[in-house]
Amino acid sequence: MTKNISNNAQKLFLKGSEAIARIVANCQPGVIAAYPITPQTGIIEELVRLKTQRQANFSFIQTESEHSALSVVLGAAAMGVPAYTATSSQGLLHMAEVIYNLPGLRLPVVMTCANRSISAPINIWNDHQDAMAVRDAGWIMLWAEDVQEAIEQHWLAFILSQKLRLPVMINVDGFRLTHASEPVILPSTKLIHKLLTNKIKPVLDINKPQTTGWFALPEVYHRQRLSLRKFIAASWPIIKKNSQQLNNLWQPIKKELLGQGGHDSNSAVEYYGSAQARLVIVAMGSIIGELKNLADEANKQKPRSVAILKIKLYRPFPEEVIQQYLNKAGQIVIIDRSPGLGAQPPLFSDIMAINQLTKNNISSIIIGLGGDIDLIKINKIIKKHGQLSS
Amino acid sequence: MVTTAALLARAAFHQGWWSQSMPFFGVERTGTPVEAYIRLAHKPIHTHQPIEHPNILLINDHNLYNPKKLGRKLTIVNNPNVNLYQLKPTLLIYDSQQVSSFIFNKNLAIGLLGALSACWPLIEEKNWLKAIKEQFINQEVVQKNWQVFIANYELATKLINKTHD
Repeated sequence: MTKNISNNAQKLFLKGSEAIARIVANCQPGVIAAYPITPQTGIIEELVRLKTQRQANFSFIQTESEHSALSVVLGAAAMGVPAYTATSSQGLLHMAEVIYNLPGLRLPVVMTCANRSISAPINIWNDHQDAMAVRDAGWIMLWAEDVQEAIEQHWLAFILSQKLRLPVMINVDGFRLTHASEPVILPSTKLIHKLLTNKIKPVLDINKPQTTGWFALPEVYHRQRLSLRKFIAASWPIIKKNSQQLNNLWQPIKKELLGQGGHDSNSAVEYYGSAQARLVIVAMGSIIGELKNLADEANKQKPRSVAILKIKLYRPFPEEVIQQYLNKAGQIVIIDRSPGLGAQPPLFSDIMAINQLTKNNISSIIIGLGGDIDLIKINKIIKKHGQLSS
Repeated sequence: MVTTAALLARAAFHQGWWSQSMPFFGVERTGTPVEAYIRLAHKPIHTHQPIEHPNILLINDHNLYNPKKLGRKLTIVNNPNVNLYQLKPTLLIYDSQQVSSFIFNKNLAIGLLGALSACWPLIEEKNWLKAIKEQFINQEVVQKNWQVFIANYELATKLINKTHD
């Protein structure tokens, strides 16, 4: 399986779920708890395989539900143990109560959400409705374009969760990424721990029993929740600093093994194309790869037609960074993979809420609910707004 | 079919290509149709979209064969009911499951990779073997899969040569 080995990284051909399991194992969490659900299952299966083959050393607890899985990792984090879980779709919704508890308790946990549609009707394929349902719960939320980026975001997630004492969710498109096999560069445990300490100050101690997250009267509760809101909103400089440190360490190693390709990982966004593009398409997740191809074709036909703005850090929403890229754009199209029932779609709403942006050139499309991405629709938009001939 | 797709992409990776395989399946029941998409390139592959118009199409169940939907450059179809092998430059229909049925007692799509290797010799034997070893790990399973692969390679090679004669 190994293409090239060094002390720092390996070039491998891996399925997305295997790659995620390997990077998680290399980050060395002490506790992993999970309950299986498609398309997350492969991640947990691979983690358990690594454990049974003694390639990883963590306590694994298969719980009776996702609610319990997240509760177990909450407990582990409270004891000062790095903890990890993964889920999808209904599983994420079943975790909802605990999802809100973790940031309120300021506990660092890392979770992969293998993004999948939510019921009803039942559908197992990819969109972003699951993660969007908990987008304002107080988690740091990252979104990966491909398997390589998912690897890097998991590494970053363990660092950020511990530095910020907040839970971090890495969103990875179900099937499109979890089941896609592709060449990747996997950082070694040794390299990872140049930036990741895995030191978490415990809030619970079995020798000194006490409670945490206890009852709060309205005045205290209000103050605590607003304090959390303020802290998360102000966390961008810490995220940026740690992303840059990871980038500085990782990019040269990755480039040596990967050659061409890959991303300048781990900043808040990636802008692909000319700063003078007539049309800027904003999106998240694995659809970005196809958008880049479509932009390349359009720009060959007519230079500076289309650019792509990929949102990698969704929470806290990097308003200032996004604004820098969008305030000079001619037309802006926001692609959402979640419908926003009873309201505007979520990514569109977030961008429309940026105060300094001119709003009359922004439009919204909802694409790919339950799996199928309508490329014809996207192509029509590119032709129209990029001023290309049909 | 999913494993077969991953094998092809993995072998291409060892050959030095950029490669990607991605399955598409619905309710996970044996016997239901499964698609798997493979991309091979000399540059990084950005997209994770399904492939609608493939250059090469491998069909492991002849019931799914539609003569109006063929690979642009090559189509290989497994059909255990074919008495006379049918071969056009871009279409090979033959019984690819006879060897895997004998060795594994079931129809495995890896036979199609042997035929593909005969029609499209761009991946070296050592890289096919390397991919099979990595994929299956267990030595006996590796050995059996390699047997199926080689037998189908030889069978397809004979068919091609026969047609050229």
